Amino acid sequence: MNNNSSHDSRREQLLAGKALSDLDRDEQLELENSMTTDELRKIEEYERAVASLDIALSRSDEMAADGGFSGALQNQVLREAEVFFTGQHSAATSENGNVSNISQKPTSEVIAAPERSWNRREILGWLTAAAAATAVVGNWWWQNGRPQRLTKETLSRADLLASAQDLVQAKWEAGKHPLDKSVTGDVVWSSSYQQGFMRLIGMPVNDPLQEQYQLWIIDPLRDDEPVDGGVFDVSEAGEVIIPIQAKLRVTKPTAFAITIEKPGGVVVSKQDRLPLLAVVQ
Amino acid sequence: MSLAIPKLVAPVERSSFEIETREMTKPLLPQVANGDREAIQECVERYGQLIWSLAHRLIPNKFEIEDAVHDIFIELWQAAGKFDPSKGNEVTFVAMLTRRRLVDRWRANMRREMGSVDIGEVEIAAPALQDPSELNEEAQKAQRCFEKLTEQTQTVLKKSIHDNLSYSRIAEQLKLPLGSVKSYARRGLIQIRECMGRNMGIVSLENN
Repeated sequence: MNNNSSHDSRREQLLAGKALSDLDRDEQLELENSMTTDELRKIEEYERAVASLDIALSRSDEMAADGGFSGALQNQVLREAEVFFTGQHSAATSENGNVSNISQKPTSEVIAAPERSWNRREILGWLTAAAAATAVVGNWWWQNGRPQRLTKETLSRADLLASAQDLVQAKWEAGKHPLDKSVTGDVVWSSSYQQGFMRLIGMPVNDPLQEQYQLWIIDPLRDDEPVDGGVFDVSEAGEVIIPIQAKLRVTKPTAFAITIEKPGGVVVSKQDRLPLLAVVQ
Repeated sequence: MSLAIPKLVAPVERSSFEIETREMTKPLLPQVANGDREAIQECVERYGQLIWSLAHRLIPNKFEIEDAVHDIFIELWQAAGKFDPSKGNEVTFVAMLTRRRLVDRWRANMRREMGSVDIGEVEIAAPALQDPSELNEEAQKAQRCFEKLTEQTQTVLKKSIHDNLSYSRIAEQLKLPLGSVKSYARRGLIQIRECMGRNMGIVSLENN
Protein backbone atom coordinates (compact mmCIF):
# COMPACT_ATOMS: atom_id res chain seq x y z
CA MET A 1 0.00 0.00 0.00
CA ASN A 2 1.17 3.49 -0.82
CA ASN A 3 0.52 4.74 2.68
CA ASN A 4 2.46 1.96 4.28
CA SER A 5 5.36 2.30 1.91
CA SER A 6 5.58 6.03 2.63
CA HIS A 7 5.48 5.34 6.38
CA ASP A 8 8.34 2.97 5.99
CA SER A 9 10.44 5.51 4.18
CA ARG A 10 13.89 6.21 5.44
CA ARG A 11 13.06 9.70 6.66
CA GLU A 12 10.07 8.49 8.61
CA GLN A 13 12.21 5.79 10.23
CA LEU A 14 14.74 8.41 11.25
CA LEU A 15 12.08 10.69 12.69
CA ALA A 16 10.63 7.84 14.71
CA GLY A 17 14.13 6.86 15.77
CA LYS A 18 14.76 10.40 16.94
CA ALA A 19 11.67 10.30 19.17
CA LEU A 20 12.74 6.90 20.49
CA SER A 21 16.28 8.23 21.13
CA ASP A 22 17.74 5.32 19.19
CA LEU A 23 19.62 7.10 16.40
CA ASP A 24 23.29 6.29 16.06
CA ARG A 25 25.76 9.03 15.19
CA ASP A 26 25.50 8.52 11.40
CA GLU A 27 21.71 8.47 11.47
CA GLN A 28 21.68 11.60 13.60
CA LEU A 29 23.83 13.42 11.04
CA GLU A 30 21.73 12.08 8.17
CA LEU A 31 18.57 13.37 9.80
CA GLU A 32 19.95 16.76 10.74
CA ASN A 33 21.54 17.39 7.35
CA SER A 34 18.28 18.08 5.60
CA MET A 35 15.77 18.62 8.37
CA THR A 36 12.65 20.49 7.27
CA THR A 37 10.20 22.50 9.37
CA ASP A 38 7.58 19.87 8.67
CA GLU A 39 9.89 17.19 10.00
CA LEU A 40 10.50 19.17 13.17
CA ARG A 41 6.75 19.24 13.68
CA LYS A 42 6.59 15.50 13.02
CA ILE A 43 9.29 14.78 15.59
CA GLU A 44 7.16 16.56 18.16
CA GLU A 45 4.19 14.45 17.12
CA TYR A 46 6.26 11.31 17.53
CA GLU A 47 7.43 12.50 20.92
CA ARG A 48 3.84 13.12 21.92
CA ALA A 49 2.94 9.61 20.79
CA VAL A 50 5.76 8.16 22.88
CA ALA A 51 4.73 10.22 25.92
CA SER A 52 1.07 9.23 25.50
CA LEU A 53 1.97 5.59 25.19
CA ASP A 54 4.20 5.79 28.23
CA ILE A 55 1.30 7.18 30.24
CA ALA A 56 -1.07 4.54 28.87
CA LEU A 57 1.29 1.69 29.71
CA SER A 58 1.72 2.82 33.29
CA ARG A 59 -0.01 0.80 35.95
CA SER A 60 -1.61 1.75 39.18
CA ASP A 61 0.24 -1.01 41.01
CA GLU A 62 3.57 0.42 39.96
CA MET A 63 3.52 3.13 42.55
CA ALA A 64 6.92 3.77 43.99
CA ALA A 65 7.62 2.25 47.36
CA ASP A 66 9.95 5.00 48.50
CA GLY A 67 7.58 7.87 48.91
CA GLY A 68 7.02 9.26 45.45
CA PHE A 69 6.34 12.96 45.10
CA SER A 70 6.40 13.82 48.78
CA GLY A 71 5.03 16.88 50.52
CA ALA A 72 8.55 18.12 51.33
CA LEU A 73 9.57 17.91 47.69
CA GLN A 74 6.36 19.61 46.65
CA ASN A 75 7.08 22.48 49.02
CA GLN A 76 10.61 22.86 47.66
CA VAL A 77 9.30 22.92 44.11
CA LEU A 78 6.77 25.59 45.08
CA ARG A 79 9.47 27.69 46.76
CA GLU A 80 11.61 27.49 43.64
CA ALA A 81 8.63 28.40 41.50
CA GLU A 82 8.10 31.47 43.60
CA VAL A 83 11.73 32.53 43.24
CA PHE A 84 11.60 31.76 39.51
CA PHE A 85 8.52 33.86 38.82
CA THR A 86 9.61 36.63 41.15
CA GLY A 87 12.98 36.73 39.38
CA GLN A 88 11.27 36.74 36.01
CA HIS A 89 9.12 39.64 37.15
CA SER A 90 12.17 41.56 38.42
CA ALA A 91 14.09 40.90 35.19
CA ALA A 92 11.24 42.15 33.04
CA THR A 93 10.87 45.24 35.20
CA SER A 94 14.56 46.14 35.38
CA GLU A 95 15.09 45.54 31.68
CA ASN A 96 12.19 47.56 30.32
CA GLY A 97 11.51 49.99 33.07
CA ASN A 98 8.06 48.51 33.24
CA VAL A 99 6.50 45.10 33.49
CA SER A 100 6.57 42.89 30.42
CA ASN A 101 3.65 40.90 29.04
CA ILE A 102 4.68 37.71 30.77
CA SER A 103 4.08 39.13 34.20
CA GLN A 104 1.67 41.97 33.73
CA LYS A 105 0.03 41.27 37.03
CA PRO A 106 1.46 43.34 39.85
CA THR A 107 3.71 41.35 42.16
CA SER A 108 1.20 41.51 44.97
CA GLU A 109 -1.31 39.77 42.76
CA VAL A 110 1.13 37.22 41.43
CA ILE A 111 2.06 36.11 44.91
CA ALA A 112 -1.32 36.73 46.48
CA ALA A 113 -2.34 33.80 48.57
CA PRO A 114 -5.11 31.64 47.18
CA GLU A 115 -7.97 31.07 49.55
CA ARG A 116 -7.56 27.36 49.81
CA SER A 117 -4.88 25.23 51.47
CA TRP A 118 -2.53 28.03 52.56
CA ASN A 119 -2.58 29.00 56.19
CA ARG A 120 -1.50 32.38 57.47
CA ARG A 121 1.90 31.17 58.66
CA GLU A 122 2.70 29.67 55.28
CA ILE A 123 1.64 32.84 53.53
CA LEU A 124 3.78 35.00 55.80
CA GLY A 125 6.73 32.67 55.32
CA TRP A 126 6.17 32.71 51.59
CA LEU A 127 5.96 36.47 51.39
CA THR A 128 9.02 36.96 53.57
CA ALA A 129 11.07 34.50 51.54
CA ALA A 130 9.80 35.97 48.28
CA ALA A 131 10.62 39.52 49.32
CA ALA A 132 14.10 38.50 50.44
CA ALA A 133 14.63 36.46 47.30
CA THR A 134 13.52 39.40 45.19
CA ALA A 135 16.09 41.58 46.92
CA VAL A 136 18.81 38.97 46.45
CA VAL A 137 17.97 38.35 42.80
CA GLY A 138 17.52 42.06 42.15
CA ASN A 139 20.83 42.89 43.78
CA TRP A 140 22.52 40.16 41.82
CA TRP A 141 21.09 41.57 38.60
CA TRP A 142 22.18 45.04 39.58
CA GLN A 143 25.74 43.89 40.21
CA ASN A 144 26.16 41.53 37.31
CA GLY A 145 23.82 42.77 34.62
CA ARG A 146 21.37 40.41 33.03
CA PRO A 147 22.48 36.83 33.65
CA GLN A 148 23.14 34.49 30.76
CA ARG A 149 20.48 32.14 32.08
CA LEU A 150 18.58 31.56 35.25
CA THR A 151 19.37 28.04 36.39
CA LYS A 152 17.84 25.93 39.08
CA GLU A 153 21.07 26.26 41.07
CA THR A 154 20.93 30.05 40.83
CA LEU A 155 17.40 30.03 42.15
CA SER A 156 18.14 27.52 44.89
CA ARG A 157 21.14 29.56 45.99
CA ALA A 158 19.06 32.73 46.08
CA ASP A 159 16.45 30.87 48.07
CA LEU A 160 19.07 29.68 50.57
CA LEU A 161 20.55 33.19 50.91
CA ALA A 162 17.08 34.52 51.56
CA SER A 163 16.00 31.95 54.10
CA ALA A 164 19.00 30.53 56.01
CA GLN A 165 19.66 32.17 59.38
CA ASP A 166 23.02 30.47 59.94
CA LEU A 167 24.58 31.13 56.56
CA VAL A 168 28.37 31.14 56.32
CA GLN A 169 30.00 32.68 53.30
CA ALA A 170 33.64 32.65 52.20
CA LYS A 171 35.45 33.93 49.15
CA TRP A 172 37.61 31.70 46.99
CA GLU A 173 41.33 32.40 47.11
CA ALA A 174 44.29 30.72 45.49
CA GLY A 175 45.23 27.48 47.26
CA LYS A 176 48.52 25.58 47.45
CA HIS A 177 48.60 25.05 43.70
CA PRO A 178 47.01 28.08 42.02
CA LEU A 179 45.46 27.85 38.57
CA ASP A 180 46.95 29.75 35.64
CA LYS A 181 44.15 32.28 35.66
CA SER A 182 42.54 33.73 38.71
CA VAL A 183 39.22 32.32 39.83
CA THR A 184 36.81 34.32 41.94
CA GLY A 185 33.46 33.66 43.57
CA ASP A 186 32.36 32.34 46.90
CA VAL A 187 30.93 29.45 48.80
CA VAL A 188 27.82 29.59 50.96
CA TRP A 189 26.72 26.98 53.46
CA SER A 190 23.88 26.53 55.94
CA SER A 191 24.35 23.82 58.55
CA SER A 192 20.71 23.92 59.57
CA TYR A 193 19.63 23.24 55.99
CA GLN A 194 22.71 21.07 55.29
CA GLN A 195 22.80 22.83 51.97
CA GLY A 196 25.30 25.04 50.22
CA PHE A 197 26.58 26.24 46.86
CA MET A 198 29.87 27.11 45.25
CA ARG A 199 29.89 30.10 42.92
CA LEU A 200 32.90 30.00 40.65
CA ILE A 201 33.81 32.63 38.09
CA GLY A 202 36.50 31.78 35.57
CA MET A 203 37.00 28.19 36.68
CA PRO A 204 38.63 26.18 33.86
CA VAL A 205 36.38 23.70 32.07
CA ASN A 206 37.50 20.15 32.87
CA ASP A 207 37.35 16.95 30.86
CA PRO A 208 35.45 14.54 33.13
CA LEU A 209 37.12 11.58 31.50
CA GLN A 210 40.55 12.90 32.50
CA GLU A 211 40.00 14.61 35.84
CA GLN A 212 37.31 16.08 38.05
CA TYR A 213 37.06 18.70 40.73
CA GLN A 214 36.30 17.63 44.29
CA LEU A 215 35.18 19.79 47.19
CA TRP A 216 36.34 19.21 50.76
CA ILE A 217 34.71 20.77 53.81
CA ILE A 218 36.94 21.38 56.80
CA ASP A 219 34.86 21.00 59.94
CA PRO A 220 37.15 20.57 63.00
CA LEU A 221 34.25 20.35 65.43
CA ARG A 222 33.11 17.26 63.64
CA ASP A 223 36.31 15.50 62.69
CA ASP A 224 39.98 16.00 61.90
CA GLU A 225 39.38 14.61 58.42
CA PRO A 226 37.66 16.91 55.91
CA VAL A 227 34.19 15.95 54.71
CA ASP A 228 33.83 15.01 51.05
CA GLY A 229 31.69 17.77 49.50
CA GLY A 230 31.16 16.01 46.19
CA VAL A 231 32.81 15.57 42.83
CA PHE A 232 31.85 18.08 40.16
CA ASP A 233 32.59 19.27 36.66
CA VAL A 234 32.74 22.70 35.11
CA SER A 235 31.33 22.51 31.62
CA GLU A 236 31.02 26.16 30.69
CA ALA A 237 33.04 29.34 30.93
CA GLY A 238 31.98 32.30 33.05
CA GLU A 239 30.02 31.94 36.24
CA VAL A 240 28.84 28.54 37.39
CA ILE A 241 26.95 27.59 40.51
CA ILE A 242 27.51 24.11 41.86
CA PRO A 243 25.47 22.59 44.70
CA ILE A 244 27.49 21.10 47.52
CA GLN A 245 26.85 17.44 48.14
CA ALA A 246 28.27 16.78 51.58
CA LYS A 247 28.60 13.07 52.19
CA LEU A 248 28.41 13.52 55.96
CA ARG A 249 26.63 15.95 58.23
CA VAL A 250 28.52 19.23 58.53
CA THR A 251 28.31 21.14 61.82
CA LYS A 252 30.52 24.25 61.68
CA PRO A 253 32.72 24.54 58.61
CA THR A 254 35.83 26.68 58.90
CA ALA A 255 37.13 26.31 55.35
CA PHE A 256 36.38 24.76 51.97
CA ALA A 257 38.99 23.41 49.57
CA ILE A 258 38.80 22.28 45.96
CA THR A 259 41.19 19.62 44.70
CA ILE A 260 41.66 18.13 41.25
CA GLU A 261 41.33 14.37 41.30
CA LYS A 262 40.97 11.40 38.98
CA PRO A 263 37.48 10.79 37.46
CA GLY A 264 35.04 9.79 40.16
CA GLY A 265 37.03 11.50 42.89
CA VAL A 266 38.88 9.94 45.81
CA VAL A 267 38.08 8.93 49.37
CA VAL A 268 41.22 10.53 50.77
CA SER A 269 42.92 13.28 48.82
CA LYS A 270 46.71 13.45 48.58
CA GLN A 271 46.24 17.16 47.93
CA ASP A 272 48.65 17.04 45.01
CA ARG A 273 46.60 19.73 43.34
CA LEU A 274 44.66 22.10 45.55
CA PRO A 275 43.93 25.19 43.46
CA LEU A 276 41.26 26.91 45.54
CA LEU A 277 40.59 27.54 49.18
CA ALA A 278 37.85 29.50 50.93
CA VAL A 279 38.38 30.33 54.59
CA VAL A 280 35.40 31.30 56.72
CA GLN A 281 36.26 34.54 58.54
CA MET B 1 -19.37 14.41 30.32
CA SER B 2 -18.31 10.86 30.94
CA LEU B 3 -17.84 8.14 28.35
CA ALA B 4 -18.15 4.50 29.29
CA ILE B 5 -15.01 2.87 28.00
CA PRO B 6 -14.84 -0.92 28.07
CA LYS B 7 -12.26 -2.61 30.20
CA LEU B 8 -9.00 -2.83 28.32
CA VAL B 9 -7.04 -6.02 28.43
CA ALA B 10 -3.34 -5.58 28.49
CA PRO B 11 -1.61 -7.44 25.67
CA VAL B 12 1.71 -7.96 27.41
CA GLU B 13 2.55 -8.36 31.07
CA ARG B 14 0.08 -5.69 32.05
CA SER B 15 -2.61 -5.82 34.63
CA SER B 16 -5.89 -4.72 33.20
CA PHE B 17 -7.50 -1.59 34.49
CA GLU B 18 -10.54 0.36 33.79
CA ILE B 19 -10.10 3.58 31.96
CA GLU B 20 -12.58 6.33 32.41
CA THR B 21 -12.52 9.59 30.67
CA ARG B 22 -13.01 12.44 33.03
CA GLU B 23 -14.33 15.76 32.17
CA MET B 24 -11.66 17.59 30.24
CA THR B 25 -9.50 19.33 32.79
CA LYS B 26 -8.85 22.96 32.12
CA PRO B 27 -5.23 23.62 31.11
CA LEU B 28 -3.15 25.37 33.73
CA LEU B 29 -0.02 26.29 31.80
CA PRO B 30 -1.33 29.49 30.19
CA GLN B 31 -2.06 30.83 33.70
CA VAL B 32 1.23 29.46 34.99
CA ALA B 33 3.05 31.39 32.26
CA ASN B 34 1.52 34.55 33.74
CA GLY B 35 2.83 33.70 37.18
CA ASP B 36 -0.59 32.89 38.64
CA ARG B 37 0.28 31.42 41.99
CA GLU B 38 -2.82 29.28 42.38
CA ALA B 39 -2.28 27.77 38.95
CA ILE B 40 1.37 27.08 39.83
CA GLN B 41 0.35 25.28 42.98
CA GLU B 42 -2.30 23.26 41.19
CA CYS B 43 0.17 22.46 38.44
CA VAL B 44 2.65 21.07 40.98
CA GLU B 45 -0.11 19.02 42.63
CA ARG B 46 -1.47 17.76 39.33
CA TYR B 47 1.76 16.79 37.61
CA GLY B 48 4.24 16.21 40.45
CA GLN B 49 3.53 12.52 40.74
CA LEU B 50 3.60 11.99 36.99
CA ILE B 51 7.00 13.67 36.69
CA TRP B 52 8.34 11.84 39.71
CA SER B 53 7.15 8.48 38.38
CA LEU B 54 8.64 8.98 34.95
CA ALA B 55 11.92 10.07 36.54
CA HIS B 56 11.95 7.00 38.76
CA ARG B 57 12.07 4.78 35.68
CA LEU B 58 15.35 6.19 34.44
CA ILE B 59 17.02 7.22 37.66
CA PRO B 60 17.56 4.68 40.43
CA ASN B 61 18.84 7.11 43.04
CA LYS B 62 16.24 9.00 45.07
CA PHE B 63 18.41 12.09 45.51
CA GLU B 64 18.92 12.32 41.77
CA ILE B 65 15.23 11.74 41.10
CA GLU B 66 14.39 14.71 43.29
CA ASP B 67 17.06 16.77 41.56
CA ALA B 68 15.57 15.83 38.20
CA VAL B 69 12.09 16.75 39.40
CA HIS B 70 13.36 20.22 40.37
CA ASP B 71 14.99 20.62 36.95
CA ILE B 72 11.89 19.51 35.11
CA PHE B 73 9.61 21.89 36.97
CA ILE B 74 11.94 24.80 36.24
CA GLU B 75 11.86 23.80 32.59
CA LEU B 76 8.10 23.56 32.76
CA TRP B 77 7.88 27.10 34.13
CA GLN B 78 10.10 28.25 31.28
CA ALA B 79 8.11 26.37 28.65
CA ALA B 80 4.63 27.06 30.02
CA GLY B 81 4.00 29.87 27.54
CA LYS B 82 4.77 27.56 24.62
CA PHE B 83 1.99 25.11 25.41
CA ASP B 84 -0.52 25.07 22.57
CA PRO B 85 -3.81 23.35 23.48
CA SER B 86 -4.65 22.91 19.80
CA LYS B 87 -1.74 20.47 19.42
CA GLY B 88 -2.73 18.16 22.22
CA ASN B 89 -3.53 18.08 25.88
CA GLU B 90 -1.51 19.38 28.74
CA VAL B 91 -0.56 16.14 30.47
CA THR B 92 1.02 14.85 27.27
CA PHE B 93 2.94 18.11 26.92
CA VAL B 94 4.24 17.70 30.47
CA ALA B 95 5.13 14.04 29.91
CA MET B 96 6.90 14.87 26.64
CA LEU B 97 8.95 17.62 28.22
CA THR B 98 9.75 15.33 31.14
CA ARG B 99 10.94 12.51 28.89
CA ARG B 100 13.16 14.89 26.92
CA ARG B 101 14.82 16.21 30.04
CA LEU B 102 15.24 12.72 31.51
CA VAL B 103 16.81 11.33 28.37
CA ASP B 104 19.22 14.30 28.25
CA ARG B 105 20.10 13.74 31.86
CA TRP B 106 20.51 10.01 31.44
CA ARG B 107 22.80 10.54 28.46
CA ALA B 108 24.91 13.07 30.34
CA ASN B 109 25.32 10.58 33.18
CA MET B 110 26.27 7.82 30.78
CA ARG B 111 28.78 10.04 28.99
CA ARG B 112 30.34 10.89 32.29
CA GLU B 113 30.44 7.32 33.46
CA MET B 114 31.45 5.42 30.35
CA GLY B 115 32.06 7.87 27.56
CA SER B 116 29.35 6.47 25.29
CA VAL B 117 25.59 6.47 24.97
CA ASP B 118 23.21 3.57 24.76
CA ILE B 119 19.83 4.58 26.03
CA GLY B 120 18.17 2.20 28.39
CA GLU B 121 21.07 -0.03 29.30
CA VAL B 122 19.93 -0.26 32.89
CA GLU B 123 16.81 -2.14 33.76
CA ILE B 124 14.87 -0.39 36.46
CA ALA B 125 11.66 -1.30 38.19
CA ALA B 126 9.02 0.97 36.80
CA PRO B 127 6.64 2.79 39.07
CA ALA B 128 4.05 4.90 37.42
CA LEU B 129 0.92 6.95 37.64
CA GLN B 130 -0.92 7.15 40.88
CA ASP B 131 -4.33 6.98 39.36
CA PRO B 132 -4.81 5.37 35.96
CA SER B 133 -8.37 6.66 35.84
CA GLU B 134 -6.77 10.00 35.11
CA LEU B 135 -5.54 8.75 31.78
CA ASN B 136 -6.10 11.50 29.32
CA GLU B 137 -7.79 11.24 25.97
CA GLU B 138 -4.50 11.16 24.09
CA ALA B 139 -3.19 8.31 26.24
CA GLN B 140 -6.38 6.36 25.64
CA LYS B 141 -6.03 6.93 21.96
CA ALA B 142 -2.41 5.79 22.12
CA GLN B 143 -3.47 2.66 23.94
CA ARG B 144 -6.12 1.80 21.38
CA CYS B 145 -3.62 2.29 18.59
CA PHE B 146 -1.04 0.26 20.47
CA GLU B 147 -3.45 -2.65 20.75
CA LYS B 148 -3.83 -2.76 17.01
CA LEU B 149 -0.17 -3.58 16.56
CA THR B 150 1.12 -7.15 16.37
CA GLU B 151 2.01 -8.75 19.66
CA GLN B 152 5.69 -8.70 18.77
CA THR B 153 5.65 -4.99 18.02
CA GLN B 154 3.71 -4.29 21.21
CA THR B 155 6.24 -6.22 23.24
CA VAL B 156 9.20 -4.41 21.71
CA LEU B 157 7.63 -0.97 22.14
CA LYS B 158 6.61 -1.64 25.70
CA LYS B 159 10.06 -2.87 26.65
CA SER B 160 11.65 0.12 24.94
CA ILE B 161 9.35 2.97 25.98
CA HIS B 162 7.98 1.79 29.29
CA ASP B 163 10.66 -0.53 30.65
CA ASN B 164 13.54 1.53 29.23
CA LEU B 165 15.42 -1.53 28.01
CA SER B 166 18.10 -1.13 25.38
CA TYR B 167 17.51 -2.73 22.00
CA SER B 168 20.33 -5.17 22.66
CA ARG B 169 18.67 -6.30 25.88
CA ILE B 170 15.32 -6.63 24.13
CA ALA B 171 16.93 -8.62 21.32
CA GLU B 172 18.48 -10.91 23.88
CA GLN B 173 15.22 -11.41 25.75
CA LEU B 174 13.09 -11.98 22.66
CA LYS B 175 15.79 -13.88 20.75
CA LEU B 176 15.50 -11.51 17.81
CA PRO B 177 18.21 -9.90 15.66
CA LEU B 178 19.10 -6.40 16.88
CA GLY B 179 18.10 -4.86 13.55
CA SER B 180 14.65 -6.42 13.77
CA VAL B 181 14.08 -4.96 17.24
CA LYS B 182 14.97 -1.50 16.01
CA SER B 183 12.74 -1.94 13.02
CA TYR B 184 9.80 -3.19 15.12
CA ALA B 185 10.12 -0.22 17.46
CA ARG B 186 10.34 2.42 14.77
CA ARG B 187 7.63 0.96 12.57
CA GLY B 188 5.38 0.50 15.55
CA LEU B 189 5.78 4.12 16.54
CA ILE B 190 5.21 5.30 12.97
CA GLN B 191 1.96 3.34 12.92
CA ILE B 192 0.86 4.65 16.29
CA ARG B 193 1.45 8.24 15.24
CA GLU B 194 -0.55 7.71 12.08
CA CYS B 195 -3.32 5.98 13.99
CA MET B 196 -3.49 8.72 16.59
CA GLY B 197 -3.81 11.25 13.81
CA ARG B 198 -6.87 9.45 12.54
CA ASN B 199 -10.20 9.33 14.23
CA MET B 200 -9.51 7.24 17.32
CA GLY B 201 -7.59 4.61 15.35
CA ILE B 202 -10.43 2.91 13.58
CA VAL B 203 -8.28 1.54 10.80
CA SER B 204 -6.44 -1.67 11.42
CA LEU B 205 -2.77 -1.03 11.23
CA GLU B 206 -0.87 -4.18 10.96
CA ASN B 207 -0.22 -5.94 7.73
CA ASN B 208 2.67 -8.09 8.75
